[in-house]
Amino acid sequence: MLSARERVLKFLNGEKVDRPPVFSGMGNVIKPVLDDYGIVFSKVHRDPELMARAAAGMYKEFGYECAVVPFDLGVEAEALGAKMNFYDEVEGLLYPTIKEKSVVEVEDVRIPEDMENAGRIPVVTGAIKALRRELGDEVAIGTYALGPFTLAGQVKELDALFEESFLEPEKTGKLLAKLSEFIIRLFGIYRDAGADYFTLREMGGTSDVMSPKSFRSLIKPHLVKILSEIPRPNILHICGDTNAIIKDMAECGAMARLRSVARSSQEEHGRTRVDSEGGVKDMKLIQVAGYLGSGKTTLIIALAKMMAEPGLKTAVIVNDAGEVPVDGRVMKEFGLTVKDIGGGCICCQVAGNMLRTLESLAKGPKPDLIFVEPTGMAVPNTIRENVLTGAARNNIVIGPTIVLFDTTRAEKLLTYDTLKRLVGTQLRDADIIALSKADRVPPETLGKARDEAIKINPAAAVLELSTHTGKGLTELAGAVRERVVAA
Amino acid sequence: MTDFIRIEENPAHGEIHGYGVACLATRSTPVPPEELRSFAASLMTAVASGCVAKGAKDIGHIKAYVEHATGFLAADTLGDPADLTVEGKDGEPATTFRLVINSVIYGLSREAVARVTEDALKQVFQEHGLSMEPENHSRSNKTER
Repeated sequence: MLSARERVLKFLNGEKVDRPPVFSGMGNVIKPVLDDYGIVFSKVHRDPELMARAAAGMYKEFGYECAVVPFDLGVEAEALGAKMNFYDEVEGLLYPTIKEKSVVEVEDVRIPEDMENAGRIPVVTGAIKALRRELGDEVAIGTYALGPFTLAGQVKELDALFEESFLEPEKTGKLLAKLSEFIIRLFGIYRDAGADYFTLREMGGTSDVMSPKSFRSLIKPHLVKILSEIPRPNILHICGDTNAIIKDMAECGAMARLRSVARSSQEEHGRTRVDSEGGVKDMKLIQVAGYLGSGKTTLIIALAKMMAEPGLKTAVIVNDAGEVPVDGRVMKEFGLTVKDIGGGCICCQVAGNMLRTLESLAKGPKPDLIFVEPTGMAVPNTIRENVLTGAARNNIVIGPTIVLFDTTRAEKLLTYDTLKRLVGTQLRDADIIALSKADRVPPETLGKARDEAIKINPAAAVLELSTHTGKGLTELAGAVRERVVAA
Repeated sequence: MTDFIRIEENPAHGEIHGYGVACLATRSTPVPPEELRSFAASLMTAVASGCVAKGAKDIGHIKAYVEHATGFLAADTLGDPADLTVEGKDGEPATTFRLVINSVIYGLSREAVARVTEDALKQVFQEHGLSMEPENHSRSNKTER
């Protein structure tokens, strides 16, 4: 029979085991263990012996086949100059948080020369050594460090990080590269202290926070580098929604990938679709996005008419760029069921209203299709991500995001810096790019617009659209009916 | 990580600002359908040219609708006269109609978009001998961020 340590390590190395090990890549504690051992949680983070005792208790009292340290997410940030709040006055399980961040620009990241003794790194290495002394080779000793994007969020103000990663991703890339150096060295220190396995925790890479495209372009390359250079066996951990990035996680090169299972389990068992036997009916959400004046309202009216023919019930959610809605009223004139959302943009300021509107549609008319027309300045992926947070409870599946690219203004839209950035982002977020008003431009202009669209988003389907002549409408209607990109 | 809802404006919105007005227009002599179309078109043109004169980099979208007891017209422009459209159901001549206009412009401040829209409204109302009443006694002067 294998020991707990052998079972975990063989499992991580892909070798045959007698049964699956019960272990974790994260630091775990339970209150009964702390109470039985007389340990105050706020103290364990700064005392290697206490940290080791609390971690060992998970094996001794709870049956985990591992002991993992540390417990909090501030060790790396503190070593880089952040100030912590340990909540000494609190007796319960309250994890330390960062009260003062240390980085504004990448130049502010100073990796200590004597890293082994920076911040609480010696507490963690001391705990690893203490665990080895106490547990010997009986139990696998694990440790972890934050991934570069998550760590960036610990050392730099989150608002600034998100804004920078959105507007100046190359600057964020430099920050992540610097933090990656630090993380690689840190894992080496933990290995030298005697840890058995190593988890890279990049929670900020979840699709709940970053779009899959941003994950691929901004975060993934650093994870690949780190995982190729840190000790093995190693684990990549990302929690939350990872469906769209699971293949990318696999490509990062870790020996094991941990992800949330709730959503994937739901998929494996099959969501209830339109059910003739009285089951729950799904509503499919189709986003029709694109810059101001690109023809979104006209397209939705045309598609909704086409959907009515096979008997599909549609509703439209309209978010006008202005305090007084216009588009919704125009659509109502065409007999559509319309929900107006005002007071700001649904990709940011009034995202909550969008979820509430979806809930009211789910409770009320339950249309087969919901067309969403965001403002012309909205970023489609942020809307998709927001919708996904409430998708399961409202029985919503996500259809393709159609982004219109106005061919009569294509060159102009890609001229001005901030406008180019917005339009580029919208196109990058598209599943289908519709080259709108295709009947109004000469073939060479259409060709240039097509080339630009493909250059910006080579993964998207690109088609020519004219609601005036009907060109492209049948293909779009087919995609609206058939395609599901997320559930 | 559920219900991740942002409340700050997305920085991607950049230099795009909007302004909207809803009001009632009245005139003692009924406005015939063809004049109502001309009114809507003039309003679009006046706002667009005013924004360009103030230095707008792009007319994002100017759109409006007018409605009365028997008719409904929607108008919009992207700045180019060839783009200007006025469509809908004309109905009978009307002494009162409701007007809603939204101007969304790239490259002007919110205040400038509001000023241009208000000035254009005054000018076009005057040209057609129309009086303006703020809707429900409270004219929207809020701006869209």
